[in-house]
Amino acid sequence: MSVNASLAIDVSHVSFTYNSHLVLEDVSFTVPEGSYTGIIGPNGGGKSTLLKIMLGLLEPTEGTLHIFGKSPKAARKSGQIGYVPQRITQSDGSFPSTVEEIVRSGRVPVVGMGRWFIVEDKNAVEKAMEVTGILSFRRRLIGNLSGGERQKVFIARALASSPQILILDEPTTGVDMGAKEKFYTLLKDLNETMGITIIFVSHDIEVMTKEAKSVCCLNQKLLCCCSSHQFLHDKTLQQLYGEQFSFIQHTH
Amino acid sequence: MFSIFAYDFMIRAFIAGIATAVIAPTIGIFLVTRRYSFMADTLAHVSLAGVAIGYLTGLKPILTAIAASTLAALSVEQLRSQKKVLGESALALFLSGGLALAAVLLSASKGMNINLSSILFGSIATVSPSDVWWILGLGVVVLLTIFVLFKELYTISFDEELAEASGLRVRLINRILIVLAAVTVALSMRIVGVLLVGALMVIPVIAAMQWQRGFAQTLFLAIAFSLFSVITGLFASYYLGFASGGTIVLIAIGIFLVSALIKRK
Amino acid sequence: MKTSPLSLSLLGVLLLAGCGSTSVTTQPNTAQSKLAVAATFYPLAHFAEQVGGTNVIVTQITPGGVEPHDYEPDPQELARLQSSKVFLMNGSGLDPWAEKIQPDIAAKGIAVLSMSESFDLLASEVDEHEGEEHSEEEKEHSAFDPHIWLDPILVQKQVELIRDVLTNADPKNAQEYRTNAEKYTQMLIALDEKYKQGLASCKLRKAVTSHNAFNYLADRYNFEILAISGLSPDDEPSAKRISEIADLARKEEIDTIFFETLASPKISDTIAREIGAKTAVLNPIEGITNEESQRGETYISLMETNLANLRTALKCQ
Repeated sequence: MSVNASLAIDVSHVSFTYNSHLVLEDVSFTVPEGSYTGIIGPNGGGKSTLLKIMLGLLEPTEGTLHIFGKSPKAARKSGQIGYVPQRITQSDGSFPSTVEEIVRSGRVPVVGMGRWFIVEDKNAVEKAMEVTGILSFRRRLIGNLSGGERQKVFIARALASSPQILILDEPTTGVDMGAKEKFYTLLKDLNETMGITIIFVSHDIEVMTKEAKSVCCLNQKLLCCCSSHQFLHDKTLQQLYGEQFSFIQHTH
Repeated sequence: MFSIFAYDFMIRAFIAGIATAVIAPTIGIFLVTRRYSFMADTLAHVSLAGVAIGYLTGLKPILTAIAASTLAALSVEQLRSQKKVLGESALALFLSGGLALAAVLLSASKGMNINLSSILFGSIATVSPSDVWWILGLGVVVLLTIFVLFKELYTISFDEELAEASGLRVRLINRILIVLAAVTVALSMRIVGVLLVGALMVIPVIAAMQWQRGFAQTLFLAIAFSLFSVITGLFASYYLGFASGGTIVLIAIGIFLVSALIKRK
Repeated sequence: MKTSPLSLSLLGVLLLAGCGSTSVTTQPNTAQSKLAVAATFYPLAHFAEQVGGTNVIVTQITPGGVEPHDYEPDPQELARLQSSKVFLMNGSGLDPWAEKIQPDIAAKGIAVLSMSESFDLLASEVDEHEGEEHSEEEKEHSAFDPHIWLDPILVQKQVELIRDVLTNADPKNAQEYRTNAEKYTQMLIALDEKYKQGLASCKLRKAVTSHNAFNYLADRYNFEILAISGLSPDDEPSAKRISEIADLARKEEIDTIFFETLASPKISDTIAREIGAKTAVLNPIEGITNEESQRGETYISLMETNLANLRTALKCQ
């Protein structure tokens, strides 16, 4: 089977078993470069496992997953993947660090062990902060930022390695409405202006349908990978969440 | 006032002290920010067992101390990364185990000329020229390694999972850090003593953290506090006759209290 | 009388303790068995052997190579001690554990001889040790200097006292004890002569030692001891004191710094290195190391070695 290097993500018959429990079953889909894809599904449905496989933290029990034709580990090493986590371990903000230091740490895999930041690296870090609009608080401490500001810092950090893909995990948990809007505007900008492929995992159906251009539904099996428009109108949601599910749509 | 420096043994004490003052918080910051503050104490207690082994076997105590604490450090790291035992409990095992082993070994070596109080509380008067070479030499190695791996160490300390997701060689770097910590503990034992090594590694760091600065600035501040504590501690210890380790740590705590008071919101 | 479980278990414990001890003599009942003597540390044990000869069996409680200040005998040894007839101890902070159990031992009918009670002790020079660090171990800070066994004249009196207590406990061998004591006293007199001659004309009259065990010796033979630590070798001297001693030694042109076999030589090394002096052993004979006993050293031979080293350090004719 030939490996298509122009596909941002190529998931081919991926299964994952953990403790004889089948977490992912024969999942196949592709994500073209430059797309804006959401992954939705119930808890325990395998979303975070799939994410970990994409990040190279887990190996699929069966099947393959390629990122721009490479293994996730290789893609990671070359800084092609930027990852924005749901929350960081030290979320109480007591870790002594400025925003700039955190963003710089995103560039570290690219710089490599035993090497120093050269001009190119410093520029990438500047750009990441500029694009996310956080230059003005580069010297502030991470512990003194609001939830929304913090999320921007983590995006900047992910962008510091000049990635081609941005993977986000439940990106707007704990973020207020206003910040949420700004956040998705930023993502859209990154996608349309800089051509970065966006993959994000979320529970938020509204965001999914509003922001993502295509949606993949995952509940152990891949139920569908379709345009977000289709996603709303298909029976998929019921398949995903069960018969009792009824959909109430709000339009503002 | 500076007649103190007319004596070679005091000059040696200051050199060893300054080296210790710089290295201890440099390692300490990575322990404190990862909530592993008790690691230093644990390694110190294991080092004590190492020293006892050194005296019993006739090998150089500083080397057996380093060997013992390195072994313990790697074992703790192994347990931690495999999540076999919760972080703190792993430390408790080694802390008490190390001390127990030390107690047994030291009682078995009763016929030897060990000055226990200088091992426990530090001694400025008995820093030999060879001690100074070891402390400086290994100290340089520790600092150089930290310097080279600084950005990786920072990233891992900030968020280990995120670091792993970024592709850093987390396990390798953790192991290196823990070995450096073991070496630092063994080196610092001379001036500050086994019981207070942990304090010198941790207290200047938490004092510096009161000042709410970024990571690099916090580290420099911690080193400054540590240097101040050691230098004034050595002066006080000389002129007032107090135990060096205790004096140094009390000053460090004083700096922490002052910092906390000034910076309280 | 009902036996409560408590007293039964106490009884059980006592029986077990009794069974556990591997004492040599439990109930001496025949005329052939020797007099059991226990001594807290080497000099007393040695003198007892010299006086008692073949009629006694002497147990030295502090083992070879161990500092008596530090030593804590384990329960087994204390149990064995109970089966002695005579108990020789020094007192005055040298063997603190013995001072603690002294009343109990006496109450059991064992003859106790505490040397420090039989002599006029020198006051310990407390003011000299201003500002010193004390070891974390609990030390009986006695007001008096216990190191009386280092003065051969005082030892002669100790030998007499030991002779007397052995005679009281074992009168049938009184003659032998008298003869042995006399013989050993002659050796002590000879030792005293050697010291008198040896230290008569010396260039220096001051010596630097690690801990202050030698006041009685120094008083007897008219020289001065500058001690780095206090009365116990565990006293870690302050850095200031070390520099003071270094200065003094330099000023007095002392080129030998003494240390001892049972304690850490590090402090003496530091001072010697500081002033370019050499180090030598001045043995307080608080114990005898395994090497020393293997070489056949005794109190007298060690005192003679001390004399030789003193003569070198004090630059005597």
